[in-house]
Amino acid sequence: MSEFLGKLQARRRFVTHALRNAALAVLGVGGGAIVLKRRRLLREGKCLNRGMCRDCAVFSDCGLPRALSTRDVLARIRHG
Amino acid sequence: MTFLIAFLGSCPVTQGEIRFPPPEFESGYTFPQTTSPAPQSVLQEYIDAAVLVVGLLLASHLILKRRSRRAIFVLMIGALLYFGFVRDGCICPIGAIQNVTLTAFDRGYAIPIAAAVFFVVPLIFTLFSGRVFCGAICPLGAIQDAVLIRPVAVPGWLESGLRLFAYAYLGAAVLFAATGSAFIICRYDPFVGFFRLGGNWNVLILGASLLLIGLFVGRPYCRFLCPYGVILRHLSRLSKRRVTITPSECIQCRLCEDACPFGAIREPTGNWPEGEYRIAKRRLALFLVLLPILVAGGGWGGYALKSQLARVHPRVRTAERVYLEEAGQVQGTTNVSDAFRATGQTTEVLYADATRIRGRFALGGALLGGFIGLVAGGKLLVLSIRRRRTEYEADPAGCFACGRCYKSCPKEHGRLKRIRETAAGRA
Repeated sequence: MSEFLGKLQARRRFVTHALRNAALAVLGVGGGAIVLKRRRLLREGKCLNRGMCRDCAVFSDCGLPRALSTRDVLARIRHG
Repeated sequence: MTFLIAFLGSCPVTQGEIRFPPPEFESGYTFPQTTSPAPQSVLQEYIDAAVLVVGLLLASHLILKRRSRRAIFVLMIGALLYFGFVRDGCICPIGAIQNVTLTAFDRGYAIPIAAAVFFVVPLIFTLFSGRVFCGAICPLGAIQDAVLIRPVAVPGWLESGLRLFAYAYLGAAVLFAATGSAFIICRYDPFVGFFRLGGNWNVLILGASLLLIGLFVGRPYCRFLCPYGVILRHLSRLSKRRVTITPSECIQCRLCEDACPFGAIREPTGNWPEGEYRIAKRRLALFLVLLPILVAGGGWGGYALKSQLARVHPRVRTAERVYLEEAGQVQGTTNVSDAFRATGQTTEVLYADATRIRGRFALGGALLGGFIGLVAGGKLLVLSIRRRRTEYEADPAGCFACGRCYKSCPKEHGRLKRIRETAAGRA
């Protein structure tokens, strides 16, 4: 009986271990996909922040018309 | 805790006042209730992500290594003050479920990196250390934990049944986010109004009710409603390390039996009594037959609700309103229908959009209903299965890693005594 229980627990540990690694792999692939999607959208010239330049992570390097216009306005304000 | 109650009672939250009154429009337009705080700087978001990671590392150490309820409580209050009151309860992993869903379904949406970090990092920690995020970092859990004064045990069958709401809430949140309709988790966050010192009255009342229930039932939102908790529950079953009541072997003294206010301590199980075993086998077979029926029934019910579900989408609501106005079934116009006409779009385009969105809800509603049916069937099956346990142990899925059970274990007292003696010897 104890041998049977031992085998059962070993099998359960193996399955748990495999599932944990699978979950980590899913999270890793998901995280990677999110980063790649952001890069793809940037390459395609899409806005990452739904048209809001304020506090946008890529504002300083953004080439979209709205960002160019905002930068222009900000520069004019800064230089009087 | 008395201080916390006095603080919550005296803050202007209960009056629901807006600190900076908005301008009055001549057209009579009134501002809608906002669910998101003012934009924060990107640097601030990265600081938040760093605080989250450091907090989770510290929580893992305090919960699994140091095993100190007092230290966990101090960290929990710190997290409540920072992520709750300082950072206005935003961003949080619970709401980030919707950002992740939207980025999966909307080709043009990019999730902010901070939101992705807040979603993924607690899940990774759960896979290694159990639900340390719930125990010490989550501000929603912390505010409930802080008000718990006289815990009442909830029967297992009732707990299991009430937990179904969390699955339904998760499914609905994913459906509405995937269709671009609404972020319902943020809209109906019961405690965010307390953190921001203002908000929708109905949601504030919901939050206050949950805190009132939370005086006697430990963490009602976390146990019966939290959609992120559903994911954490399942991942924590796979965790590498988790809360163990006793630091060494269990001596079966049963002192820990009533220590957990969340009903997460499982007692040892003996062999099945012969008669009961046969009944349980028959019940299991019945529930296995019932499972596909529940899934199919849920799917049909969800499909039947497609029109009601689709009304959550603003485009569908606009189309319905414009249709009623065009057909002369209602008098006058609304701000929304006026705004639509001002765009110069034709009603045909609007109606086509609404039909397309309803189609998505037909499929999504069926999937949501099927999911709820599957969870209900799964719960019935789990209730009919008995896992073999040789000692008292914390259920990894139900344990919030609050550390209350440590104090009740005489083995733990022995460990602490040895540590104190070693420290005194060194001194």
